[in-house]
Amino acid sequence: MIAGQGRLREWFREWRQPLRHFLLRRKLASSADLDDIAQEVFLRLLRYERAQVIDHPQAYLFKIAANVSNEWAMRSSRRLPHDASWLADLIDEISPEVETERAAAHERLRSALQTLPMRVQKILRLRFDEGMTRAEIAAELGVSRKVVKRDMERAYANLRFLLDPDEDARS
Amino acid sequence: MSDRPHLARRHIAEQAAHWLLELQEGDLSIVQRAEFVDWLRQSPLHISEFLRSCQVQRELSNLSDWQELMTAEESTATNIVLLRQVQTTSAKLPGVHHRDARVGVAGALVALVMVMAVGGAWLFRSQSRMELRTAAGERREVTLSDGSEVALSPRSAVLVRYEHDQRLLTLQEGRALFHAAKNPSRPFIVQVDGTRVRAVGTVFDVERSDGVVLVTVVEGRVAISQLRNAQRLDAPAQPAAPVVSLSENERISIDRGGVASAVHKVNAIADADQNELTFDNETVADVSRRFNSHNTLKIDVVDPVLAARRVSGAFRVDDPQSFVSFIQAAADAPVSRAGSDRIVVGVPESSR
Repeated sequence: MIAGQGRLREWFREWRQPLRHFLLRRKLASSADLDDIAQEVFLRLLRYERAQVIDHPQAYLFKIAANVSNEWAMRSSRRLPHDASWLADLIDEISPEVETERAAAHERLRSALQTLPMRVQKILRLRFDEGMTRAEIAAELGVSRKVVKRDMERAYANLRFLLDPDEDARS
Repeated sequence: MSDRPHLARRHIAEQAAHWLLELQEGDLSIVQRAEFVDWLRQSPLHISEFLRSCQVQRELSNLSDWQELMTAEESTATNIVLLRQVQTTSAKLPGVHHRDARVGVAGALVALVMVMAVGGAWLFRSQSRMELRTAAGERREVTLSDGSEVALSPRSAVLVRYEHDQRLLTLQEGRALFHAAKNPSRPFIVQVDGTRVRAVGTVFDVERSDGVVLVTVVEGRVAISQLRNAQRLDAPAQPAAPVVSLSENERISIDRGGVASAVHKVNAIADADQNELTFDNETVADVSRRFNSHNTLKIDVVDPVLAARRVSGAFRVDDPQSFVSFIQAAADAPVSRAGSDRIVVGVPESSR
């Protein structure tokens, strides 16, 4: 937009926004849609030189994913005209719908968290509530860093399936 | 609850989490990045699971009521207390201050050992100080030695003091957007008057206008506390309870007395664009003050009832006139110009 605004603002527009858009749109897409989106992202990612992507893999991935999901949202809104409101960038605004959806998502997350083992819950709290690193968490709980990492990986995978119940229907 | 997700898929989900965690733990070597890229290029399912993993992590980092959730968890009470829980929780938990005390003692020990080992001169040299200042109409963005970034609005000043155990930035006036580079062993702290904002790998905005401090979180989370002794900037800070935790798209204002408002929801991305001034359910007096701190043309709201009225909106920060027109239309208030740099809004009580 405005030239010469500096790196931080550039980062906002180039990198933070695409991910945010992608993740917000993602809520609208069903689980099946996300696999289709990933398919398209995959194909586009292959078109880039491997060496080119290696410098900033996340940036490439999210940019492509945001583009694909935007296109996706546009296409599906053409099929379902009443969804056209989602088209606009207004999605970033905190509308009552987004707010309600967010509250519901928090509720789902809360109950999913409670099914995890106590140690895992504790690790997640130290990570996300107190911003500790894995090394600090390991020291705090008196376990190895490997254990912390393993617990977190399993927790992410568990939560991912708990939060995406559609998945069962597909497999 | 899905009890038997496809085993292969479950395995990919764990790999995805592995990569996400690796990417966040710090700088990956080129070899690791290449491995990650190759993994992504192996299968669309890898991409799908990686994106889902990001989603899970995002929801986790947006969750604000860990306290409530973890009430069953006994021993390690945290020092971050949600505002609405301040009364009930902070008094009950016996361990609330443990962490602070431990960190304080450990910090003091480290400092002592250093002084003994290498003498005060080294300690002095290991600090770096810098003052960043902008004039009216000037914006500046500075990248600090650790990769953190500070974007200053016009008429703002930030004193940067990097020490071995903390990164302390003091907002002396105006407004700045901070992007804290992650380094948990050196907390990133922004101090403004008696308020202390501790970042947890975060982008956030701090504004000081006329003694009132506004903190807005764009991404990640911050913990906000009040200093017992606001004057002693270099004292190992002793945050006094209550500590407030603020998440993405949330804003809090803290008045001169250190009293925090309720947490407001804002569109922080729009707001972080420093040409915009956005406010949600704030008083006309507060909004005017924010305009005034950026402009030579001052808005003077003389009608106390009008000043206390709550408004929401988004305006260009260098265009106070449009805000005045907005109040004029919304509240049917008389507006008059007093001299070249003052707009008087409303009728003072005395002359009614």
